[in-house]
Amino acid sequence: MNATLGATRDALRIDSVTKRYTTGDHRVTALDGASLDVREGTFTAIMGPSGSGKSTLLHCAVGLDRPDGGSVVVDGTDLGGLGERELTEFRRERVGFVFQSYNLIDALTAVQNTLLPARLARRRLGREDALKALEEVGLRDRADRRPHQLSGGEQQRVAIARAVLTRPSVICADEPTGALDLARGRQVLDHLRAVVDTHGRTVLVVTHDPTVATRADRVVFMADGRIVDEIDARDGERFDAGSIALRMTGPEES
Amino acid sequence: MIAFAMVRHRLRSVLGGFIALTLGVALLAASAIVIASARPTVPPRYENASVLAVPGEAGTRSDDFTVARAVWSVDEADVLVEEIARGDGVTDAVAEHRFQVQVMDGDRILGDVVDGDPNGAGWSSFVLGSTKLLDGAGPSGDDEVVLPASHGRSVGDTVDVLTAGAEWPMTVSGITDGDDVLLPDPLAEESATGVSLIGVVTTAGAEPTSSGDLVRDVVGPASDVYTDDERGAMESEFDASNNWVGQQLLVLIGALAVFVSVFVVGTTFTFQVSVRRRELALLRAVGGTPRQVRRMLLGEAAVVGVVASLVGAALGVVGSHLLGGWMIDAGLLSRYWQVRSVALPVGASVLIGLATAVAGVLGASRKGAAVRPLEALRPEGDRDETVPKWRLWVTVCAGFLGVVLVVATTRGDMEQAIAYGLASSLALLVAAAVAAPLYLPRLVGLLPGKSPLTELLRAQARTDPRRPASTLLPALLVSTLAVTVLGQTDTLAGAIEEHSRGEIPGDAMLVRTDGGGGLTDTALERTREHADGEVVSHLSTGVYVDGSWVESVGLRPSAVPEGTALASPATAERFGWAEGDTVDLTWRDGTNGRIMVTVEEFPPELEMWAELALPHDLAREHDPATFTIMAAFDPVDAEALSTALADQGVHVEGTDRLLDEGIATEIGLLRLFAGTILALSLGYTAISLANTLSLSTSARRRDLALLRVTGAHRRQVLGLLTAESGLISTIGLALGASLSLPGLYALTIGLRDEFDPRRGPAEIAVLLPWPELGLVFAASLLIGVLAALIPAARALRRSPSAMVAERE
Ligand SMILES: Nc1ncnc2c1ncn2[C@@H]1O[C@H](COP(=O)(O)OP(=O)(O)OP(=O)(O)O)[C@@H](O)[C@H]1O
Ligand SMILES: [Mg+2]
Repeated sequence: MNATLGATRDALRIDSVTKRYTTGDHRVTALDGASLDVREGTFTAIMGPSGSGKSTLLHCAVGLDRPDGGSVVVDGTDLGGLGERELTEFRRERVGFVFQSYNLIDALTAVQNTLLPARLARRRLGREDALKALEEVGLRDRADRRPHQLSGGEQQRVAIARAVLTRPSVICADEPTGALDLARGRQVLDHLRAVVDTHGRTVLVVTHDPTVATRADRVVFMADGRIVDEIDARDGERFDAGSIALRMTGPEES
Repeated sequence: MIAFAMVRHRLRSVLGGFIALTLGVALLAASAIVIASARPTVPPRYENASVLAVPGEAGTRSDDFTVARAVWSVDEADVLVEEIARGDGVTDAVAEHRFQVQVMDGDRILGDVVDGDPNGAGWSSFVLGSTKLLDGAGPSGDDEVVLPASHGRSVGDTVDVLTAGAEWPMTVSGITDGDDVLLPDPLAEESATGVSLIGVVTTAGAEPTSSGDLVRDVVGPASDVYTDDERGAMESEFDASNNWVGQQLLVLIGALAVFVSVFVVGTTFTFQVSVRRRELALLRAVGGTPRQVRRMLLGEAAVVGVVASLVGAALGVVGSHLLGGWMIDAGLLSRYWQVRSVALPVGASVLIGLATAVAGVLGASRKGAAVRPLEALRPEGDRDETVPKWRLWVTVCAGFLGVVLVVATTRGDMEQAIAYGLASSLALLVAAAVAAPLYLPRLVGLLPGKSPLTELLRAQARTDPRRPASTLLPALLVSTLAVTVLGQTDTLAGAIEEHSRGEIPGDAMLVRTDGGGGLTDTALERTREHADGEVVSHLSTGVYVDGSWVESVGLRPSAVPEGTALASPATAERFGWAEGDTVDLTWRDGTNGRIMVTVEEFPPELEMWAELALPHDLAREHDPATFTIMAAFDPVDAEALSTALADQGVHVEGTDRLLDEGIATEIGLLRLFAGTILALSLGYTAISLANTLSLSTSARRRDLALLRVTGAHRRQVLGLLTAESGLISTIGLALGASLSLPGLYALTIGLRDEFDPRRGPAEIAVLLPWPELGLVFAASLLIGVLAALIPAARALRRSPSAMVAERE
């Protein structure tokens, strides 16, 4: 038991994070003291109604955005203390990110897109490494295609290959299957699951789909900018699509 | 790698910047090659001399530009030459006797006009040149002459050789491939005005520098000694055929090319950045630091810059031959000109091209680096609405500079007023261009109409003012340049036409039939017999007082009392002379003398250039080499006089007609400048408009598609675009025209005192050539509308759904 405890230190600690947007004279509180700890080597799904702050939380977690209050510690690094350049460098070294769409740069081929963060970081990674990463998502034969020659699912998988290539400790994906059909969405999830199981990375996924959530180790629910509930597979709770969907309606009604 | 892939991908969108830069570098390279190749070279007539010695500088001629040198008297020169000839390795030392000469075959003038380049010399000068004897031999008697082949005579033919004061029937003894008419040395010596050059030919082995030192020791430090390539300095002094005007034109073309290239390249890349926001944000999201983004954009610009510069350089090399040929034909370039120097000007142009590309992208790259990663996830929203500080600053500074320049225009002399006027328009143009995103939405907002499409137009101008602003710029540029340049030309032409007719006494003047300048004394003599009253003639010469050049005129006949010189009050003050003083001076031929001066105001046509007036005969006595430049009189029988003067190569012409022609030439040159500038700027406008509009259309494809999806007809969409680009072009044209007006009005004030001061300040009006301006405006309006319609029509050919599905 102690051994497992040692192995499962926190990859991500989000503590009472707040984020507000002001548009004109209208103020929106996107995050209202959200706190979340994620253990290393786990797959966490974030669910919640539209506008509850999931994307915002994810952006703050990977340093794409800065919270107004609270702290974010990734892999032992407090993001609050980093300047713009350090933050960027942190991002490309330590986290991978998959957006819902527009993940790839049109001008570059699949391999080039995969290699992009590594190149930006001047890592000694070459085409071979990129091809291996593409192989893992089953796209080796599409390596030299440009994004407009790939399907939406293939594009997402290239983005995953890109996200894992530099071996970041945390990988975040915001509705990676949102635009995909069931089969393609499942493939994408399989790849994310594999990243956790075979490489021991930490994965954080925002999703609206309860069946997606069943692939996770843990599901957290958000409402009004806060974490309001969670189910952990290891706590022995019921962990199927039906019960997740049920738990989700709870906060949504309140 | 990334920069390369990006450029390849966006080839079409950087095309405009690319073409603009290519053309800019081509123009710059061509101009630079022409300028660099126009640097003086050793003229053929001195090519064989390893050392050339000339007396030191004594001042400048009345144009404030041409160097006037001291002179050796014949005796002085003989002593120097004798001493030099004794030196080691010297095979020949020649004191050159050069003079103006005209060869006639009866009434026919032989040879072409040679500009400002006296082409008579003694036979002894032949050894100094690389010129070859094609036929015959040197003159063996007093009545033999050697002619250039261009005179079209053969050995044994007889010709009449005219110098300023003498006329000899002669037999052709030899033909050369050079430019000089070579006379027997004794005749040359009496025809020349002192000695202005000593040429030294050395033995093959002699070291040019040591020969140079030898000559330098003999002639003394006051004289200049040239060896090797320095001898080229001679060309600029002898053959100054309009090079100055030509160079100004070239510099203007080059400067304009750079200005407009920066403008177009800057717009292209700035626009690129706003089109590519999402891509840049994505780059930032996956870990590109702002610095890397900036460097990538600079790298792209460098790729474009390198390729464009190289292509441009290649075009420029070809273009320089065309440009040079055209300028020689237009009389703007020496006939000796040929492409000599390529590497340096091309290298410099490529560097400037690169710098232009990078400068153009500098602002854009900073903006690109400031894109935040999260912008990858959002649709394009309202941009930051606060006005960037630099825009305000640049607007205020450029506007202020414009006002300062307008004030300077009112104060300057003619050349300054023109330059400052143009500069003030350009400064105001920069201010208006930079401030465009601030005022343009408001102007577009004034657009009447309640249709949903016009509302869309207004909304789009509000949310992204930079896009219409960048389509405004080309129209702004062309209209500012057109109104300024054409307005200046017309205003100036009108002013010259009205105010610059000097008062030339008499109804007629003598002119050389071949268009050259210069009248012989014989021609003057005969004219006097046929004139009703006096013949006013000017012999342009000079004297030296205390070693410095005094521009002088030889006047005929009674204007200056015999044996005295007439000094203008300014000259008297310069040398401290008083009325009736007898002063020491050195004549034009290097001999010393004394003369009594009277001080008197000069008539206006002389005051412009002469400092001292001498009786014609005295001037001729000491300057036998120079033709008289002007003779004006009232003719008794012009026809008869013309016939009588035919064998002197001159005829009679009405003064009014000559003045008209003179003014026409002057104005023609102005129009040449204006035309060049306009053609260039219109070409650039076309490119840059086509560029920004095709960019902005492709950036708005989605919008257009959505319009189509929501039910707009193709025609409505195209109509919307036409209205938009027509409106913006019109705003640009009107604005540009009004920016030019302050400079133009300032010019009329600046020119006021530039004409005959005796008549008080001249009344000058702003003249605008409406037909030409209308044409320019219509052309740029058409270009603007077409540039908006063509890419849009192409985009709209597809079905709306295909357009929506299309990725950015
Ligand atoms: N740039 C912004 N400006 C203003 N308000 C914003 C901005 N981004 C997000 N918001 C607001 O913050 C709140 C949380 O947004 P967020 O995108 O995190 O929600 P979400 O949970 O991801 O929703 P969805 O499931 O629809 O993606 C919303 O109310 C949204 O309107
Ligand atoms: Mg979201």
